[in-house]
Amino acid sequence: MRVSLNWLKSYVNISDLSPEDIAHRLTMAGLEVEGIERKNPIEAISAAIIEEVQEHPNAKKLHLCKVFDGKGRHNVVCGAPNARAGLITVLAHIGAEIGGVKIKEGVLRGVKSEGMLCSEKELGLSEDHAGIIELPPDTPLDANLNELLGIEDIILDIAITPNRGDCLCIYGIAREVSALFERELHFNPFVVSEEDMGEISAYTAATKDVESCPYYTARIIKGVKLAPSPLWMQNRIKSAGMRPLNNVVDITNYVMLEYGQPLHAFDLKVIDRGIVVRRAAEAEKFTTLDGKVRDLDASVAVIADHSKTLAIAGVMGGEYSGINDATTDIFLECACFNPASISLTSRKLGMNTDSAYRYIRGMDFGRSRSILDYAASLFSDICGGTVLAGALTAGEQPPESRTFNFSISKVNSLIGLELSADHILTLLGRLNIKGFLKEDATAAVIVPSYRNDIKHVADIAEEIARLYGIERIPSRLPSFSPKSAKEKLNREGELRELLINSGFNECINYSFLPDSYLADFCDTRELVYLINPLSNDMNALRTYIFPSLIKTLEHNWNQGERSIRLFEIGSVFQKTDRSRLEPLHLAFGFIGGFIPLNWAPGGAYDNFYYLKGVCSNIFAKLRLTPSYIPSKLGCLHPGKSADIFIGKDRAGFIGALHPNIAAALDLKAEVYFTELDLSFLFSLGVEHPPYKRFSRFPSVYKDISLVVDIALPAENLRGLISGISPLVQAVVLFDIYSGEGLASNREKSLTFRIFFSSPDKTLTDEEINPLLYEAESRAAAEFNARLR
Amino acid sequence: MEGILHFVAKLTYLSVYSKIFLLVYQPVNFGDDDDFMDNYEPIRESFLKEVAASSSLDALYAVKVKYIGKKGVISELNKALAKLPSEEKPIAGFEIGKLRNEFSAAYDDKESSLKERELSEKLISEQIDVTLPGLTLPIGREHIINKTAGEISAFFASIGYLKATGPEVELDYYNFEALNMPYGHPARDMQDTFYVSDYEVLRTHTSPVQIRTMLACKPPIRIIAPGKVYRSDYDVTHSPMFHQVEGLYIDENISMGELKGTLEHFVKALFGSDVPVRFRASYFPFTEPSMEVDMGCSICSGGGCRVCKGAGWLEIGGCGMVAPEVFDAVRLDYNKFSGFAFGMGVERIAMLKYGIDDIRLFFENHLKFLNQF
Repeated sequence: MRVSLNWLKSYVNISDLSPEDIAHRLTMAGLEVEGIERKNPIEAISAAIIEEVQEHPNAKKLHLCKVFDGKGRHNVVCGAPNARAGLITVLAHIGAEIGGVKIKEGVLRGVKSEGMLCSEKELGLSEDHAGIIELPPDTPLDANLNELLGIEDIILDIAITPNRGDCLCIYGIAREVSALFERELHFNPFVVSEEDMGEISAYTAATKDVESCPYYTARIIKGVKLAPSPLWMQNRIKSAGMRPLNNVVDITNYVMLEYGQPLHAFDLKVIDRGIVVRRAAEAEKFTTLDGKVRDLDASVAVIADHSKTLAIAGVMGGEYSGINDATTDIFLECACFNPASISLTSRKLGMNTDSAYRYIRGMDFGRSRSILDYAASLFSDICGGTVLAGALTAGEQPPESRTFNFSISKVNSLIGLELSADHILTLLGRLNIKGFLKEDATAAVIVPSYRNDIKHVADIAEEIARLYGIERIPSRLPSFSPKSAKEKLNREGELRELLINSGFNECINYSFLPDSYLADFCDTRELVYLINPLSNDMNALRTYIFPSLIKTLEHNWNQGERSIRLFEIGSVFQKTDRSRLEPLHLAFGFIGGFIPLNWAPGGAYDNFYYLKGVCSNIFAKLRLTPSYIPSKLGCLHPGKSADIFIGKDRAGFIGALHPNIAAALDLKAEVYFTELDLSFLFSLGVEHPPYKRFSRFPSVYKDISLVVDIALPAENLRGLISGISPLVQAVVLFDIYSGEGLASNREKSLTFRIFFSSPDKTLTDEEINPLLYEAESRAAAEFNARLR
Repeated sequence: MEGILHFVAKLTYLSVYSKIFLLVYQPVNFGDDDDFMDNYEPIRESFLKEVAASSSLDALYAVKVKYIGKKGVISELNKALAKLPSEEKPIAGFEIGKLRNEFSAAYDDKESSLKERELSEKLISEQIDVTLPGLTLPIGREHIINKTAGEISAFFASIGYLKATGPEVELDYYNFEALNMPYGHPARDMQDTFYVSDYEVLRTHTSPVQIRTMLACKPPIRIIAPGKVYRSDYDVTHSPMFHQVEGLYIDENISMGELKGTLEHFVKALFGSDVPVRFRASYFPFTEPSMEVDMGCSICSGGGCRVCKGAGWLEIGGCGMVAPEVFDAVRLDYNKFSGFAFGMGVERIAMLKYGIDDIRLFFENHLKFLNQF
């Protein structure tokens, strides 16, 4: 919110405070000042009357104006269409600096000009550049224009938090400044002079929707003359960032900016017998004053008369019910609308007006009647209107204050201070909150209605902390008694570290992807969709991580990277009939080969095995023994993919992306990836096993080459050999051969090194050879293997 | 073979030495027997020459065989000794021994110099280019967001906070209502929300973890909850997905003093012990009183710059005393307990710490970015 210090100082004395002081105190107290805008005075300008206007001899659009500034006469060339004799306007003399340009004596199309007549825009007052400023006819020529036009001012830009609706007006800020700096707050008194013409009884007001509108009040003002508002009012409206329009509209805006209460002025002649606050009809169409057609329904509260809808309550008036040039009599509304109701309407219709903004944040319901009277007084003072005696009301005026009790010790224990009850009540007094100490160490407070955010002891603690100064609250550390619960093993962190050390970079991708893309990798019926995505590129939550990973691998490849290994750990989202699950997954993979460009020959084996090697380390870390079974997943290369099982449960898969999908995605290199369900793997909860005694006798080994069918999975044979005796410590496949000496295309030779170890001696050949024979004969029996 | 030769040479030496010993203690007249001596001199000259001329160990071994091998020149002299008259034997034996010793000395000298030369030649021939890259994969990097969140969590873990997590698709009730943000509450507008169904949202903050924890655990509660959050916003400083870390401490007699002390220590731990920290009043629906935490601008050290918009301070998170409405929602006694909660954006902290100017870089995952951390 923009707060003019010129305006502010009419309520509270700030003459000895710098804008920075004010800004700092407000900021620390929760009203964050985001900027201080200084509007500097303009030297060498004065009011001047145009005495004579002549056509410029050489330019159609220019005039020669003879102006008098009270001291002397000047000839000024001016292009404004509204330059006319008798107009009092603003003359910038030679030497004045207007908008960063110094005014010099100049010759315009052959005619000398001794200054410049100024528009509002040129003086930085508004964006209005349609013509030169028209000062009121009674403006004295020696008037101080910097003051009169509000040129010199300092504007604080304050961010108001949603709980402080009371600070969405200048008077609310004045209240804060008064409380923070302990200064007297002035209230500018007013008098409504009413005339009893009896006519008000021709109108009624009723609220059929007490929930949305607990209180409605209105006055009728007759015989208003539409004209520009007085300059001081225009200046203040402009300082707040709004545009002055005419005196009637300006008064409603001005009162809102001053006291925070939105008002609405209807043209009286539009109103049929009176006002009813009610809900709109289902599927009702209504045109608001901005000319837009709105679709209303029965959740929207409207202001209606006895035959039609006039306005959307608290949000915006209708196209035909507002003030226009022919308006003479007005029906002035000042109502209390329920914040939640206005919030729903505003959200539903996508309309966030100044009025709705304030209603949603809560306002001073206890004073709406007196604010109505104040506004009426302005209508009679400024627009020459006659205020009809009496006001129409519906519902009950909410009370001007609210009372509750709180515990002094709870306030102190929340803040961490030991303030006396008197001290606390004195601080509250600065906020115009009256408190009384009671016998049971509690206090009763009377909170004015504009502070509708103060409801209980925590709110009192906040006010005390703000006023006392948060920086004065001593900092201390809480005692940290150790808790009995054991911190879970950081398995996720361990795997992250393992992958990093295996050459993988961690990435974080968005959880959402286009469903059209995900359709390649999963059943779209499994997808969790966003109802309101930012775009269709982000409309569904991923069910696996690897589709994101593929995109990121590809992105880096297209960026010219050639050593790309990535992993990601994150939640995935799967819809099931009963609930939505969020298992934690790990995916890792690479594009264009695992081993980066390198000076050493090698890397001749299928990339699958490098990825599987990383997998093996992961399972070793988790102390789990996986089995790899050829996968049937449609998105994987059928010959280079496997499902990974722990026992009977599928824990993930590994493989190359199916060439068809790779082609459809226009990938330029092969992609390999693994995805593992970490939630499942971690749930297996493998604890660290206890220490096992190991053999102190050296292991010995023997090699064995067996010829088998080319299609036999090597693991089957390895597994068999591992099982021949408890003395077998490890079996390592170290050579695969097919070709000369074997039946080509049908046979392969697998050479294993078998390590033997005994707990109580070093094994001899005599002890090992029978085992080798056992391996050979069992392999022969089971896999039709023969010794090579 | 070499070893055996050495052994032989050593035995020869010992036997000669014992003869010298005998000679010294047996007064013998050596007489003038120049002829005998003259027989040895050419041998000495020739082996010294040949040893010196040996250019390799093999050549040197050949010389050795020639002179002190079984049928070597000197060995033959020894054999011939037996045929000498017994009175000549000691003198001749002495001379032959001397000859043998001299040969061995020359040989040993030459051998060690040749060995040294061959070793150095071998080392030179085995030299490799030590500047070639090692044969391993380049190490990966932890994503800077996880790294930063990890650092934040690690600080709080070190002072007794347990890690807590919650779902990212969250009930509207936990994300908003239980946190004192009923439908229509203006604070909901501050968090543009993705909806998944009428009653489920992508959580807009990690604060629902507070609710879940308070429902599940009894005080004292100390948790730290890092995680992904989502808001419908996308530009240089806003990402539809980002990360927060939430902290909660509930116990008896916890006040704003403890909150201030805890977060002051945290900021100093993360950004340096000389960084000033300030707290100013603010508003969050689920804390009361509420505060923003600012730290002295790390770019300009408080002087005022573009990053801190001239203020000299940077906002790093929000905090406050858990609101009574939240205690009510989790049915915890507000009269007995109190507590504080705090939250911060991980991206923001990483951006401040490393001077990153576009939040979208975190999720583009360009290796040129990822490899910098």
